[in-house]
Amino acid sequence: MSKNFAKRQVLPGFGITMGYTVTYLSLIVLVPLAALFLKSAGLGVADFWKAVSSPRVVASYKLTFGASLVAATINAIFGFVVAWTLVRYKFPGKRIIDAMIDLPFALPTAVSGIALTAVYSSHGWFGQYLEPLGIKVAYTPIGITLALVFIGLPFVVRTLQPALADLERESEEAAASLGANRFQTFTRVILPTILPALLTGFALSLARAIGEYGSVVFISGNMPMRTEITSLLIISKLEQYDTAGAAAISVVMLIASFGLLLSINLLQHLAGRRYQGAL
Amino acid sequence: MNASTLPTTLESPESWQVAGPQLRTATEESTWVRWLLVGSTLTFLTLVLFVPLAAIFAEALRKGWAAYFASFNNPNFWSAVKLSFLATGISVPANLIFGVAASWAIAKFDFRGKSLLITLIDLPFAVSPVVSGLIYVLLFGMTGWLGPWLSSHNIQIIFAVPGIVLATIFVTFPFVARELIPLMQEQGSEEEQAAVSLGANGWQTFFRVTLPNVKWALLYGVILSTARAMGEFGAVSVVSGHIRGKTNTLPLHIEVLYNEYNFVAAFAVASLLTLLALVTLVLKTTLEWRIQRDLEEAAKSE
Amino acid sequence: MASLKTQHAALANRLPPQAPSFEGGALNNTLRIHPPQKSERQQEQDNNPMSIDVQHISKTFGSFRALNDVSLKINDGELVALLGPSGSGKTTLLRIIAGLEAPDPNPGASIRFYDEDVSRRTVGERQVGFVFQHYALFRHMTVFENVAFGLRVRHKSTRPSKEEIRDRVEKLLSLVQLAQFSKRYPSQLSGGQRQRVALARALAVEPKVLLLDEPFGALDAQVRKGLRAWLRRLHEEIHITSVLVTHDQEEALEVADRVVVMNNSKIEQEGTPDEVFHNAKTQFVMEFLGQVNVFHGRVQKGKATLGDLTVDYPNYSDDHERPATVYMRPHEFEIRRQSNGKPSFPARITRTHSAGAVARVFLETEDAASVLVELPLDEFSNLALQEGETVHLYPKNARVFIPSESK
Repeated sequence: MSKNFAKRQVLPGFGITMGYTVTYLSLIVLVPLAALFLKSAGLGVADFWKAVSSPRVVASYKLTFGASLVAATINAIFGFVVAWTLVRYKFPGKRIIDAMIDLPFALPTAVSGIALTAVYSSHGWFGQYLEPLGIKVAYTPIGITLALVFIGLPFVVRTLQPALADLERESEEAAASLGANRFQTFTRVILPTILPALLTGFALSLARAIGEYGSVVFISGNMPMRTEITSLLIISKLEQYDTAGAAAISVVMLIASFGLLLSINLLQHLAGRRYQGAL
Repeated sequence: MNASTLPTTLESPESWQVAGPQLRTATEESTWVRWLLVGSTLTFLTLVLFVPLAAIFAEALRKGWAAYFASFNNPNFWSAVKLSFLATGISVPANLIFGVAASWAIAKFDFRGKSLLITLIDLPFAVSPVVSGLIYVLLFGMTGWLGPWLSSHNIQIIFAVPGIVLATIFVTFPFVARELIPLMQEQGSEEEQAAVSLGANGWQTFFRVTLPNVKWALLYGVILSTARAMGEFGAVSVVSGHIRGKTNTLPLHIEVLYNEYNFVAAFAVASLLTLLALVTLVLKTTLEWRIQRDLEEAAKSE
Repeated sequence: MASLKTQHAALANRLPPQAPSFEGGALNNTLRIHPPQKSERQQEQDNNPMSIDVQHISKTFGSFRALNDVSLKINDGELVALLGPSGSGKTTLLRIIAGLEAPDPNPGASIRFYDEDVSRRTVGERQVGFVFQHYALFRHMTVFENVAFGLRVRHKSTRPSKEEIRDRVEKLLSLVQLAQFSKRYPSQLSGGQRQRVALARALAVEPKVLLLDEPFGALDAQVRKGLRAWLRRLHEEIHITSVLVTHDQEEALEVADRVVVMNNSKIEQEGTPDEVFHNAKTQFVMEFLGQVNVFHGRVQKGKATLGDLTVDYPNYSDDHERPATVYMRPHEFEIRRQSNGKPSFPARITRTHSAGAVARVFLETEDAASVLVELPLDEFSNLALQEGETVHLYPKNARVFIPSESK
């Protein structure tokens, strides 16, 4: 702590940068967020509960969380395969594909939404072949899930890539020299080592999916009780001048995503404490 | 000996055949497993990523180049362009200044509650786009806390340009700061202390010592914020009010066109934003290795 | 990285090679010359059962030739050290023996364990215990689980029962003196303890041979010494055929029954520690093992000359004069103030230091060549040498090599 004292003495600008940081943070983020909590608190317990538990709202939760869970699971599986392929193998076009993984980050969500709809609607490139098979993608929960897979993919791949690259090849060789086959090496050595990264990627993808709006609204069809996600429901409430109701549902969503992010941090902290430094 | 640098090739070299197929290296999968994994990757990415990407351009050009370019011959399009540039042009520099100030305070000084502050800076990432817009409606809207006061003074924020700028600032809030903070923490403050001991003042220290060390990360943060600011949809949608020619940004303009079944125009505008996204990806990839190098150098010199 | 450092140190030990001119007459009678001869050990070895036999192994990585037609036989129960600078191919050879790497395809190449061809077997099928340089412990498993791993992944038909596994792991952990740490994670152990877990894990599968890649490379000097002696005792207890890779000559000479010195993708020399140290067959081995003073002279008609100093060198009887390198170890000198008629050369003392097991005297010949001499401390104090005074150096032993490029 004596070091900290010396630092303050030597470098200038702590007061002004810190003051600016806290002021700007408060004005842009903290005060508006506080307004949200205050607004929904103004409802009182009974009305708050009514606002967040009406059948249409509950249906939107089920859809949003259900589709997000399925999408995050698909992303965890395929994201792992993609990350593994990109880290371990060489094949033509690999660098371009690697760069393209971030496309869902860079592409405006509205553009992603109309593009996916164009491909998977009943007249689209794939939709026209899927529809006769009885698979309707656009304007169903499948389409919503597809959009959520699209926007969540980079989270899993980008979290897993460094973890896979950091895997010591020696531990895999050690497992092989002890008689483990490749499958045993994978399930007993590789998977447990990258599990924290995989779970983190899953949770990040899930958190993003729960709040997603732009890429989903075009493909979802937005039918109350059936294909209406929670984000859209908040907008509907707002358009009906039910700001308190919108605020109440928003609070539920915020708590869900904060809880998720908190558990990610906790997970990483635990994983770090137990295994790290075992070089 | 760094075993991890040994190449793992998919092309099966002749030497394997001679020694027998079992003699692949201990950490390699059998050929069919590898082809299966590469095949799944390519199929999955094609279905989810590449085909939708191609569809944007195909739909935009469905009725030919003339129809494509006609889509841009529209005053509402140009006012959307202007508004998008305005919102980006205000929010990115604002967050840049904030990011630099915050990372200076956090990386160069020790104080209580530092990790709480970092968490709070990251907070906007955890807030869904619609909620990001909603909070400003609750604050500045007609029924909001400051609404009556604002309207009595004839100031309009919600359903007007200031609301759009505010929402854009909110969703791009952490980008610059979260690129700078880890890098500057890794680099420590020894170089700055040396500069100050040699007689440099605060500004000189920042511009001549700190900034050159973090310039790539700073640029990276700016590029990410710009892409997000140009493309934000949900948050802006809530505060905009969709007044044509006045409060529509480019993504909102796309929505309007799409909902009017004017698909060619919608995809034409979307193709512009897609090109912007592709440029972003190229810049981002180029910058990543530079930042990686900065980080490695910082780690080495410790 | 570590091996690079040592290589650098080895280079530093060599003194600047300059052509010195000494005074003094013939010293044929005092200097022993070492012509290459077949050692007893090697003769004996021809009759022993061979546990590892690799023949004509080459390995290229891209354009880099890591091994160039290497053949090596290792006796049953022997502890052999592969010694060499980094990049000499020693680790590659070890990994090829283990099956972690495949040799270049070559009709004559073979890898045999106990007369059985194993070249087509995977590392798992070869029944080797491999100890990795950085231990490669599974960090999400406890010490116990790490050691039990090799038994637990066995096919049901050969897998021991839970109780047997527990017994065997506990026995091994007490063998490596870690019984009380079985529930810890690798991150909670010291470097030396991790190394011992790695060893126990490798032994758990009852390997036919034990292969150790720089087993002490990542440890600090103190722990290294202790662990080295412990490994030697352990080897005497369990007598498993072991091959150890190291770049540390002290380690190789102290631990191994036999040392295989490698350089430039080839084996330079193999033999007992005594043989390779005292009877170096090549310039490389001479310079790599221990410290040497290097002088440049000439050979002709069975004699090597260094200035006025002459050394018998029967291996070269040609009339044609050729340059030669003469090596003298620092401890193989006698220092006198007066000339006693035996071959010697004068040198001025530039610095002395006696804070160690031996006293080190740094000298400079009239030709400004540096010489290092090591003396026992009592002899050093009897002589009462002063910095700046000129003394006579009497070499007790010299080795002559004709550089290969002039052949």
